[in-house]
Amino acid sequence: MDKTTPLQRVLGLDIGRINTRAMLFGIYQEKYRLLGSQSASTSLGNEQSLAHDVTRAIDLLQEQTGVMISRSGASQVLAHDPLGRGADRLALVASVGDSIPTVLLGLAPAGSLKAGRALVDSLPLKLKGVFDIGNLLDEPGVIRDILLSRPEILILTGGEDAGAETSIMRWIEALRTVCLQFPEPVKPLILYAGNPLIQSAVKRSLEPLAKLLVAPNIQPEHGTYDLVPAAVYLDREIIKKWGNANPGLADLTDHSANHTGTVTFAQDRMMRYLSRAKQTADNDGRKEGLLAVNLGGAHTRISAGMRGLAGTVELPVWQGLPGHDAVSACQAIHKWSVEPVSFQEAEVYYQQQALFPGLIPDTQKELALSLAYARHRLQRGLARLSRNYDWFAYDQDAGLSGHYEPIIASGAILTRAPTPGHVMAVLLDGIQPRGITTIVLDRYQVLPLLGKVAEAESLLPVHLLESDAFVNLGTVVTAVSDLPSDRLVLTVDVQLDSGQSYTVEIGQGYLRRLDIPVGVSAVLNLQPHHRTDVGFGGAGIGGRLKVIGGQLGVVIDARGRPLRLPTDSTTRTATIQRWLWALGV
Amino acid sequence: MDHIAQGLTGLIRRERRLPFSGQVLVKEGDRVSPDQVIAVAEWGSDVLILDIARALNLSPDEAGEYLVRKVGDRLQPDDVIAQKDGAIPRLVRSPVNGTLVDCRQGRVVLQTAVASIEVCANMIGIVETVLPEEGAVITAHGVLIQGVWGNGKIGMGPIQVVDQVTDMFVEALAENGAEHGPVVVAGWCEKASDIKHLADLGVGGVIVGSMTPDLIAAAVDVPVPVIVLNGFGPFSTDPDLINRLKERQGEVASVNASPADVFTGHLPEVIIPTVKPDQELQSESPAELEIGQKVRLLSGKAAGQMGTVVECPETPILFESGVENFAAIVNLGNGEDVTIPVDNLLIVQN
Repeated sequence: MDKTTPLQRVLGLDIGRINTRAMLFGIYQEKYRLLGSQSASTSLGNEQSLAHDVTRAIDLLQEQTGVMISRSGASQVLAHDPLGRGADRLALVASVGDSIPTVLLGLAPAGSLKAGRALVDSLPLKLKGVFDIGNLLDEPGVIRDILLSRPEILILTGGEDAGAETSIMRWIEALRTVCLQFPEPVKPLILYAGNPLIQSAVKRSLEPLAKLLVAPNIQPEHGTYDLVPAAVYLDREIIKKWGNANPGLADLTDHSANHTGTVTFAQDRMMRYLSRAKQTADNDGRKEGLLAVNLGGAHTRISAGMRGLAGTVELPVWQGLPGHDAVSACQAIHKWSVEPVSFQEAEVYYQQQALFPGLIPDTQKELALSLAYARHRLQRGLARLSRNYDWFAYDQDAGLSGHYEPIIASGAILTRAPTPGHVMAVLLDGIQPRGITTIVLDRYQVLPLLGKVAEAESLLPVHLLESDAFVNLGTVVTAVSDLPSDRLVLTVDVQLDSGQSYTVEIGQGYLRRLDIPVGVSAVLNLQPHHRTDVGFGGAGIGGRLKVIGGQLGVVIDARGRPLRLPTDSTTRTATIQRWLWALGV
Repeated sequence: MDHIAQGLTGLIRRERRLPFSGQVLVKEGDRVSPDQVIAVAEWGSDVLILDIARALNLSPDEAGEYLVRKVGDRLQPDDVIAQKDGAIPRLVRSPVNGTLVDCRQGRVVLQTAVASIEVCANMIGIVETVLPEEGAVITAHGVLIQGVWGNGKIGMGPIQVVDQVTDMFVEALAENGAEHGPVVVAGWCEKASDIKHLADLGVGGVIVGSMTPDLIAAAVDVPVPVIVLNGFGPFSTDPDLINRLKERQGEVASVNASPADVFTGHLPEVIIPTVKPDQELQSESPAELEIGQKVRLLSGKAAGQMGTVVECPETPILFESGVENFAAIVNLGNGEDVTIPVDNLLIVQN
């Protein structure tokens, strides 16, 4: 196809561990739109092949859109033709495979290894060991530990550009020894992403012994990451490895002309794009970021962007045998459940979910448990992101530092929640944002796929981001104050486009919803108490804010930071219930 | 996981493969037992690094010229590795048994130990096909009972069915002796100490219908296989299954408690070989939920109970939680029908 000809139709597939989604993008009124989205559960089918699940999702999509995309019962996509059948391009993102065992080698824990950890966490990789140069004092011991952990990927980094060489060369010698011990089929892939001055020495030493990829330095200078080139290589390798384990995926990858990647990396790519776009738009010097959170059945994915930078973490919801990390998770579920639940009930819920991660909340109590755990997942993911990136600050108690707008939420746990109020409650409690932000729900989990589709058609994501695939739940104004409970912290004059106006006073400790209909413009005149910060530059500083009503209008969160939950169970559940009522639940 | 075999009878076929090339230790037609190693692969695990340049007082670039052994040589203690003649000859000897695997930049690397990965049969059966350098396909005629959770261990023994693992049962087993290492099948287990005691008695395995989550740590720690058939919590065990197991009391079962794997579809499983040849096992993975199927309910007020699908409404239903989803109506066998999200059903094949 001529590269200047815009693609008419793009089929997107998102193969998750629990659901397989098929989405059709096409041009409507001169803009790309999401024409349909359907999902089928990922069951692996009778042939233990993902193609079976993809076929079911595509069949449902054909029924929904009336567009013939593939021949009946086949995952092979037809080429787009003048009759309107088929698609020009297939883009595929996947999160269905196991995380790949990986060992990370570098120089200093606070330097190259920190960048290395950020790289590992941003992809479906499972860290089996991290070694710094100090560990090489016992070289045979390190070699033994690496050998026994049987990594499939070895990442070697360290040395800033034009920095340390000798230490890296010592690692290279150790890696030679490691490679010589493994039989050919299990020799790990080695990714070198350190000081570029010794790339040729690395190639000479390691290329004859293992599959070697050489990427630009992931930390070219102290405190500066450049993870993308290395992540591109790793993303490709992960997809290959998953394809080897499941031929159905390999076939689909071929069919997509390699427009296939992991969901995590695709989401990261999209956040990078949005972060750069926001940087260009924010020409008034404000330092605002944006955030995307995905709570799927099997993974928690958090991405943040700030000043053109972006970072992502992916955490598996359940790791290894059930029982891992169960205590802190169950305590959090017990703490955040709006229905009174015992620790034991939380434990049964947690372990059953580990066995059956695709369960749908059936009763009020199951919903309460599910959304309580969602808050904990957000906290864990944000804390990990904060550990990996200096520019992202989050504290599990105090919440998010800095201003992030918008916050894009997705994942089955949120998109299937019964009301927008439920989603808003989880996000506000789990993230504890500050200042002013907008909460957007990515209903069909389109964001990662857009990151991959952009490779084929860069206009498509731009149009989609403005479409109704993304639902505005509402603008949130956080009023942080040290005033005692119930004291007036903020007065808001609301002026609707229709001319109607009203004034709302908000007391310390309260969550309030301002009724501004969906899509209606309004101007808020925020007048905070002199000890209240609403994100306009400090305590007591107010101003005018133009907003467009979301599904929940505008939400004023004056509950304070950090959020304080009563220790007594009855009072605590009553408090959470009161907050939910404020959000219309 | 949306289906599980709990009582299917027929020819069970399982492929056991090494993750990389190695040596297959069985041949076609061999009878195998669960803990029998059928294939093994090795790789170097320990190395000794000798700085021969320093020992010979040479530069790293020169040292290689004085090596008197070559890569691949097996060495014994005191074998000379490198030698520099002169007025005062210098020698580097191997301090250990090992294999010379590398010599570079004045360093000699000896491989001094190997690690191995073993693939066990994980079932009682017959080797149908040898997969050269990789493993084998093993078959058995028998009853297949899969669980939802396993502790990663394997074992075998005669089936012994009880309603519940209690202190009394454990004491009785201790008194009567568990020398045959029975595979204890129980509807429910309440205490971690009971699992530990059973393991101490040397049982061949513990199969429970359900147990509380606080027993997981104990179940992971014991050296015997533990399989949970239905889930964590107060789940009832299918009375049909228990009756069928009672009929097979005393027959030897193999227990493969390796954890469930969503990517391969593997579930922990018990196989009870039967004497008479059976037909091929019917499919272990049905395509869609159908009326008449036996199911286990995984959510709602009837969570853990068994039932039969009586209706599959074509439109989504709003549940008490406020979530809308496709549903099935399931008869619990006591005259009561419950409506449940289809995603919360486990199809039970038997």
